[in-house]
Amino acid sequence: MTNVNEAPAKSAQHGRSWWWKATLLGVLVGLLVLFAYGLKRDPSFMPSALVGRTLPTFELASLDGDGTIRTADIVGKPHVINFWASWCSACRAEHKVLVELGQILGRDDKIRIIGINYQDRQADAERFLKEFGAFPYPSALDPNARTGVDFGVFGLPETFFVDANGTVRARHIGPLTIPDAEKYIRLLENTQ
Amino acid sequence: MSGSFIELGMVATALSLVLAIVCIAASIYGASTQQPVFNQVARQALIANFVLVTLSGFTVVWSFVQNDFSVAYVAENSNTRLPLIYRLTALWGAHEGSLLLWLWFLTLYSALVVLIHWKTHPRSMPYVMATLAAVQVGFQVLILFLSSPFTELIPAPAEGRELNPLLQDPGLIIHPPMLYLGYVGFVVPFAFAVAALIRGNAGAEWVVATRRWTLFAWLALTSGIMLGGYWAYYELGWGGYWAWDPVENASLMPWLTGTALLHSIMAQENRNLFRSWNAFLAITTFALSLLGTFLVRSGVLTSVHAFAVDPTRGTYLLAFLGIVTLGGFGLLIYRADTLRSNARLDGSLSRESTLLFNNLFLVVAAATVFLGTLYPLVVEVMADERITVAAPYFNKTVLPIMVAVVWLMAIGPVVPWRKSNLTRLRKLMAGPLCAALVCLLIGWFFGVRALLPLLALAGIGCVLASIALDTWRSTKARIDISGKTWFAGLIATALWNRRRYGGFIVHLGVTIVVFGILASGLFQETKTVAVAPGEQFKIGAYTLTFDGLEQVQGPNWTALQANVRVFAGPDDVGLMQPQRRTYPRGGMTTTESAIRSTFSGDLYLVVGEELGGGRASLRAYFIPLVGWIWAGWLVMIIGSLFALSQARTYAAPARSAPDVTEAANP
Amino acid sequence: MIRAFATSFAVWMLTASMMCAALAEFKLEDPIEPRVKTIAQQLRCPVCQGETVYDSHSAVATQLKNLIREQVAAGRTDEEIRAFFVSRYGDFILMEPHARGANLLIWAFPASALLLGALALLLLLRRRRAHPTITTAKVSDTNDLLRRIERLEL
Repeated sequence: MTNVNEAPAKSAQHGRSWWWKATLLGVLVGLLVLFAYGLKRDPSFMPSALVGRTLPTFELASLDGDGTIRTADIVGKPHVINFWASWCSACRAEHKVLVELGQILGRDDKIRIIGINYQDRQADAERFLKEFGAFPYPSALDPNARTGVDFGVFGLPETFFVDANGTVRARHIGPLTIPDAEKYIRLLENTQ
Repeated sequence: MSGSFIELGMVATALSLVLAIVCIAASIYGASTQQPVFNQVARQALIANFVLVTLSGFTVVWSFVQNDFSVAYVAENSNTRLPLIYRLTALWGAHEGSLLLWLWFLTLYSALVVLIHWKTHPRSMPYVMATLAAVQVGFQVLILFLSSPFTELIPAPAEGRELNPLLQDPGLIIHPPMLYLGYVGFVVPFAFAVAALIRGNAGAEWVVATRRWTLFAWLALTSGIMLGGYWAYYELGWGGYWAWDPVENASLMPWLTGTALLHSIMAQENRNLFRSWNAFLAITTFALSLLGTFLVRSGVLTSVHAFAVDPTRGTYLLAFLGIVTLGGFGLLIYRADTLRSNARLDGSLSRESTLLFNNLFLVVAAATVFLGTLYPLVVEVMADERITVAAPYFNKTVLPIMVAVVWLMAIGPVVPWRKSNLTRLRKLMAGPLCAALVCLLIGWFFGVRALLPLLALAGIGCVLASIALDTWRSTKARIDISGKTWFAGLIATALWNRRRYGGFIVHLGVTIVVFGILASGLFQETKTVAVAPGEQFKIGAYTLTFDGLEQVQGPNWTALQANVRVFAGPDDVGLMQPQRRTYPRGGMTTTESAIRSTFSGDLYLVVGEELGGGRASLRAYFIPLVGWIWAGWLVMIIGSLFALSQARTYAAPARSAPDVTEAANP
Repeated sequence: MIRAFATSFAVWMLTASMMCAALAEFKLEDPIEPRVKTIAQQLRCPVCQGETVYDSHSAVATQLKNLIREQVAAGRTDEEIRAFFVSRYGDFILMEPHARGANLLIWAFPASALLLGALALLLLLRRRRAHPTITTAKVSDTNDLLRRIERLEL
């Protein structure tokens, strides 16, 4: 372990080398810290451009046949708006949570819930509900995704929480759970 | 019986973990006490590990062949209808098996390094072995405790799920192993660099030892990237081959720094220069290979929909990466002052200085890719925002740097070592610059107006002329002495210095690839149509007639297939059948584009959707000269193999007599 | 390419389910198509792995292309159309980050790194040259090549 190639004029150069060593070490540690933070983050994190803004206007046919569902019906009461589709496998997992949530919210009718069937065929959507059970609330049809685009929907399922003034307060990406829903509903109640 | 067979695989891997730890302890103890018997123990442990991990891999492959669904990994990634060839290669079809393949390559490289360099590098060997074994431990622990392909399912399901259909493709059979062969291969220069740093001696020896390993790893990584590009081209159905996706970038970064290393080690070999820098590049390249694995496996950088993330695995990989990088770079920082070379750069214009610029460009390109890939993560962590940094950014920043690298290929190899001057350079470059001008004018004539493509075309001309002139001069000199025919002279010249001419052939291949990229990008035609049966449309020089849609049944898939008859002028040149496949067991779909390749370009068809009334949507591309990219790759392979064929046993560089420290053990 | 792996290990199952069916798009040879293409190439398909709206065959991308087409036909400018999508999906939808604020860092990095690096190299070469330790072998032009061949130093 001898340093046979040591040249005499080394020490003079020592002074010049500290800066790259510090930079290298700094960059390295910085990156490791960044990755460590990156790992702790929720990978589904996606801020919504809509939160804090007024609900987009829409007027859609309802799934059960007659009538339309429009923005004007929503303003005045806090709403949960859930985007779903028959082709979305994660929506199957979410289905019973939504049914339960619909029943809970239906009891005192302080907060309403609606579904928006996104980019789906009506027949497929009906088959889905026949197979898994109907939602205890109405769903609107958005076959060409226009309303979905207005909401900035990335992938299904997504759920929006709107207060009585029609301002979007939160958006949830991925299957909803009851504790998630409670958290958002508390948020809605606090902003009343 | 088969259940116990997969347990055998697990036991073998566990045993290899024990042996790797033994290897570390024995080699370090052997080195510090000068007792060769411990080095022997370490050596045997590394060789045994290759056998053990081979056995482990075999148990998994055999479980796939036997459709043994009591093995969770098999049940997840295979089923009885999966063709045998894909069952044989399903080992690397998902996370756990890929890591086992990684480990297998690692043990293979380790055993080969020990066998090949045992006699030539006896003093570095203990540290080389310890480093290799330490990396092995990292992967063995990961495989055994966090992502085991040996886990059993009780009770065993009657039928398995599905291998990712994207992987059910001949291109994907060899793409991942090739990529891994490259990634893992950079462990050899890493281990030698670490050994040199520990010994405080980073003369030319470690570089001589690792030159061919580096070249081989580079070749494998190049091939892995190219195969991946080719696969993306015909499988993903968007007419492109490179999307600057984070996962692609992860493979490009070690390629760029590996290319830099490949060039700068020449300076150390010939002139004993850039010693700390080479160690830095060797460590960086391997760290980036690991980072590639980390990024893909941890989910740190995947998209919004990456729900299936395992934070334990990610944390472990991060810790592993931290140990390797802090260890490697820490050692470099600690030892850098003893590595200062007493050799000097003699002139601002010399081979050495062109190599420095080559390294600058390649490393800045790698750093830009790195920054662009990680920046969204930075923004997310710092500002809670999500942004996208994708192809347009990289095209605007990395491509100009790469064009500069092309130009350097014209100058670098012909500038002499040590010292040159502008007069000589002017003389050397006059011809190539004329060729560059001609290429630029040709490009202009064909309607190319953008600056960067014009510069790239001119650069290609410059490189080709420069290579041709240099080869001609050397050949002529040889003919003048020996009186051979020019052909025999050329062959003799090339064989005389296979490294140099292998390098030229690789550069030639690079220019062909660049030309293919330019032409296919600049003159591509795209058309999206909605057609009824019998309707015609034109693209490129072809007229296409849509014959109708058809349902096709495969072994484990069904497909919607469009039949399209292709006419070149009046001639019927054949039927093209693009498909959209559905794999019912996994509920997945893939795009099978139909490609008709000719010398002048590819006709590329993708079937969209059934529109009712027998009508269908089709997207057609005519992509000129895209085949040149893969042809250039073949030329790069030939050049690399040619260069690899020249072994260089250690010879003292001209001015570094004191560096010969690998004499046999006392 | 290796995109396969990102998709295969984490996302594939979900993205695949989100892609559902691609629907009809495009009119043949419409004069507005080049502009639609340019804009669609600047937007990221919201459900894909870094593909553009233009390249993607997914259903959502098809709808977004139709939306772009309608807005181009309605006479909106490129900037207005991009703003339309950004106001719904955020900056994430843009393939290329804005060159402002902290983002200037990544835009300025390559050029400044090259510049600084080149400067450092030139200084280094100049400094090293200031005290040369050995003289270069003088090679006359005629014998130059032969000697270089002999020395294997080409």
